Amino acid sequence: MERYRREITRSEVLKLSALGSAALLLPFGQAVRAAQESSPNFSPYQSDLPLLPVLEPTSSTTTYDSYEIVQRKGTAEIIPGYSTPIWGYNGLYPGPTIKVRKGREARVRHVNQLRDPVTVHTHGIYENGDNDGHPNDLVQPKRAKTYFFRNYQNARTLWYHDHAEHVTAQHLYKGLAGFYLVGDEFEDSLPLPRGEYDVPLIIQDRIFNGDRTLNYPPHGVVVSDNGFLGDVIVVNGKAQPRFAVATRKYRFRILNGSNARPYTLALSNGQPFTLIGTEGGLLETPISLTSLPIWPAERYEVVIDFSDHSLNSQVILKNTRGGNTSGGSGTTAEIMRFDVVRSETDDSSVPNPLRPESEQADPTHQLTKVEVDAARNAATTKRWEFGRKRSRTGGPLYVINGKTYDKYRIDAFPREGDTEIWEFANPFAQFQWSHPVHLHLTNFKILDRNGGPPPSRETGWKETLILGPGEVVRVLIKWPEVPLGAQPEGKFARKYVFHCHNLEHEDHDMMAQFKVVP
Amino acid sequence: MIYAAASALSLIAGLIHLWVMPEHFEEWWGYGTFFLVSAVAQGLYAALLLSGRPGQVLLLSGIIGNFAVVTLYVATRTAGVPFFGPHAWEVEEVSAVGVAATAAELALIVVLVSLLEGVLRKRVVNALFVSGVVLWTLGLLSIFT
Repeated sequence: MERYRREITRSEVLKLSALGSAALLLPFGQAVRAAQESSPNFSPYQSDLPLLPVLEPTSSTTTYDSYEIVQRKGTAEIIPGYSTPIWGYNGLYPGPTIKVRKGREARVRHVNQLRDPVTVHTHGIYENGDNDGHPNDLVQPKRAKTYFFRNYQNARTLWYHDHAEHVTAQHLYKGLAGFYLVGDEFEDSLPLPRGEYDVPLIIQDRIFNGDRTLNYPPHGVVVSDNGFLGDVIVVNGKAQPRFAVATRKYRFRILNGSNARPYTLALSNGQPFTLIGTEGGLLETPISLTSLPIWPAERYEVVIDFSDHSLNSQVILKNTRGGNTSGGSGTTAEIMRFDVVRSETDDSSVPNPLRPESEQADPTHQLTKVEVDAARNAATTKRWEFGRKRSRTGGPLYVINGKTYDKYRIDAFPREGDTEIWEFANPFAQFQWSHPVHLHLTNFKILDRNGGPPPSRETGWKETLILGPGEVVRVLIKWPEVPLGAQPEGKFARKYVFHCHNLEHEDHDMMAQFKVVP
Repeated sequence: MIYAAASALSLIAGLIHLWVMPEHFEEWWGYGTFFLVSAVAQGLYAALLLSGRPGQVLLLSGIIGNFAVVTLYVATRTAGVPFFGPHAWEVEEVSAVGVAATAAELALIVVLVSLLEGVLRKRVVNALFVSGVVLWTLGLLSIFT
């Protein structure tokens, strides 16, 4: 029998060091790996811009169309010559475009063949909460859910994406996003570019590993307060593509589908383009611009006229955003290239007015200019401060009014038919954090930004706005009636969220819940 | 003296767990409960270490208990929170308080090992060595795959 010894021997120290070193050093391994790397070099403009496929209904009745989407793993050739694993709607990245008509119901059945629970938020839709893709209304693996969309809204560019609590950033980054386009007779009556000259563009940024797989920090690790910023710009699933155009006008429905990166769009030849729509659909009148900031989740519809270009000329869509962190430079300074390759006659035009006030009304656009002015100083105001605090373990928590998201807590109870002013504030000017704030269910009008009128691009109906460092933005909301009745009322029927659409902020709980009451 | 040192180490770890418990309750009652139970157990253990010369069973219990907590810490920082709760498979961040609690638990394990006697001590040291090697292997696999 060994004699009792109190001292630790050298041999014991070495053996116990295996455990000690593992416990103290391994946790730092993920942090090292999470440090954002650079993508391998590649030559831009080697891929043609894909025109996104339109999803066909599986069946139709006199009143509705049925669709089915299977969420599953797939591969995509994002960088030419390389197959990158993705998660996709029908295994596609980006997902198929759903095209619907105002007043005609769409029923979309999502089948989850992925590893994780998912939920599908159709961003900008006016529907009851059971069909809104609430972050906690999850579709488990091997299960399915049918979403009912009555499409009450005027024509506009919506999109659908995953919205599961705490994993939205990862899921969207892996590929779970697609367009949802609403058309109506009024828009059809306008001479705007249509058909192949009406092109949705989803702009995103990615980082690739050496083997061209997607690089993203390990789940839960926050790399930067600015969110995830990639160094490869991807449009419609292709890295810096080229798009062959004719000498005529094109309508581009531009969506910033990045997790966190903002862009400032401008054409390399400095030519102006025409802004015709925002998230809420067509503007009342068109606006001529030479540059256009666009933040995550915002949509802007623009018309670019190539008729004055000579054949074989090229125009680059640039990202001229400045700044050290999210600014465009190097590989993120150029988004895509337009190659003018053929002559065509053009019978399209941008009318003025576009969609006058008399044609704007729908359940999410319930206020006239007169009513907006009347409510400007009279409506009830709620203030929401977007900030950050440190957890007791030292990690960042992104908060609204000092609180992280809690699925058991309702932060506001707006009443159907009430008009309210919501004031969004970002007091942390010194840290240069920005928050693209998104409101579910309905649209708002921006009353003022920092006490002054909003820029022209923000004068339409919107549901996403940028809240920059130190900024205060007031919006006017007329709460619509929650459209029940599509199916038996579920537990999320009247529950919605609003949140920062910097997805890394959102997933670290910069989100709040509201319940619309009768 | 050595029992006082061991007690202090257990108390430090317990107090850190108590400090971070409230926000873990905010995330999920299961996480908060884990930290509450850990804090109470480590506090009680600190008291037991001072209540007379602890026997081999108590020493071994402390080694196993703290080893379990340390292993869970490594797992949550490499592979992610295992199985349970809204943050399942999320990799937790490394923080100063987390490192401090783990360092206290590791130091406590060393002190408790030094109090073991005979063949049991040799077997425990070897088991901890093997565990360390396994942790390195699994941890590196989690990080790089």
